[in-house]
Amino acid sequence: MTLAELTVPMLAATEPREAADPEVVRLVTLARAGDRVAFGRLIEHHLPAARRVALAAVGQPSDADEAVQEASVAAWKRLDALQDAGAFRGWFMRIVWRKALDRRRSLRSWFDRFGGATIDASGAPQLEHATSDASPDALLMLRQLEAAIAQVIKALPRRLRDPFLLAASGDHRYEEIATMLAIPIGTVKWRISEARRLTRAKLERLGHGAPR
Amino acid sequence: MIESPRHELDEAIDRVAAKMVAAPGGDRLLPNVIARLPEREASPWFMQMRVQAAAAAALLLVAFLWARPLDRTVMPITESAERITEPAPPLVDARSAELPTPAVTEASAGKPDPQLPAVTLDRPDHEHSLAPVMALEAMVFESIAPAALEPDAAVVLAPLALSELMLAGESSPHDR
Repeated sequence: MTLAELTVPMLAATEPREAADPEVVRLVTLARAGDRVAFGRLIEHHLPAARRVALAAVGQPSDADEAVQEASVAAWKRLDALQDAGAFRGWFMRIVWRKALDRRRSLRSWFDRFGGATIDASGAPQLEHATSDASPDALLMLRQLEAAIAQVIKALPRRLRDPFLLAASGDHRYEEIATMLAIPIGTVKWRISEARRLTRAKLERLGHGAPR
Repeated sequence: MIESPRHELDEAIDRVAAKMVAAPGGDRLLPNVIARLPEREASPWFMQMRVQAAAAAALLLVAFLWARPLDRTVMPITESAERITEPAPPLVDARSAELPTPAVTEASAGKPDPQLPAVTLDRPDHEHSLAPVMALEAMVFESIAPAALEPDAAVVLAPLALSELMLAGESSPHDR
């Protein structure tokens, strides 16, 4: 078992490398000829993953949707530059990531919008397993823990938070994350592990988790 | 199996991180994307090959620039033939050869060759004033007859004269 599998269980199960789908190649050919419907079918299956990629960069769903739309238009315009039609997904995701980064830079203050100092209860993620049979005190403690985790993750350095959230989406392998971030795959694994370690250490200093 | 608090914390971190990038909804995203797509003309085949064409053009340009300096070093055949057939100016004329101490006169007065070192007039031209080398004559060796040699003189050895060694001290053999 590798270190990555020990520290990043979310990426333990990796998908096999995507083969060149003849349908994708046909849709790319039609889209190059100006077929909008074909282009829509081409990106339709990738839009949820594209939104998660953009959300990992910008933090707000509205900004993520805007980045995905800009990336889709850019991909439509640059479709001729796609050398291998079978590699459309990775090529499209890289465009989405670049557009999301451009949007993050253009924001007046990304930290104010995404990593604000205060995270209220409405901003905390709602966990599905918070069933009604739990006591009110347990639910309250769980929501406080979730809010603290979200706050700590948002306060991570971008070089650690970006690969960590991309991996948390479960849509990408290490190789794809390394290509999107333009860093070696070993660096991706180390940064994900380091993000997890820093998050756990900060939570333990805040009184959550196991005492040392 | 009882899960440790540390393991629960790791699971909670993973859950929260996945929730942070979860994007529910988005049903209107695809229609919005389609509506924003600009008109796109079908690109002809040569437009699709423009990257390859640009690369080929760059390679040709590099090859041309690489070969250009080599052409400058190659002398044309006609020009080289003319240079060969041109008579070389004499370095020493006939008059200077008759003089006992000839000096370079006309050669230095002619068209100077920048490739040759400058020759001063006040120094004799030792190189061109030397007498021609005579043809080598074959050397004749007479055969050496062993009988013609004189016999060796008899060797006379002087008689040996033995005398006692003049030794003294503890090393003398007479003391033993």
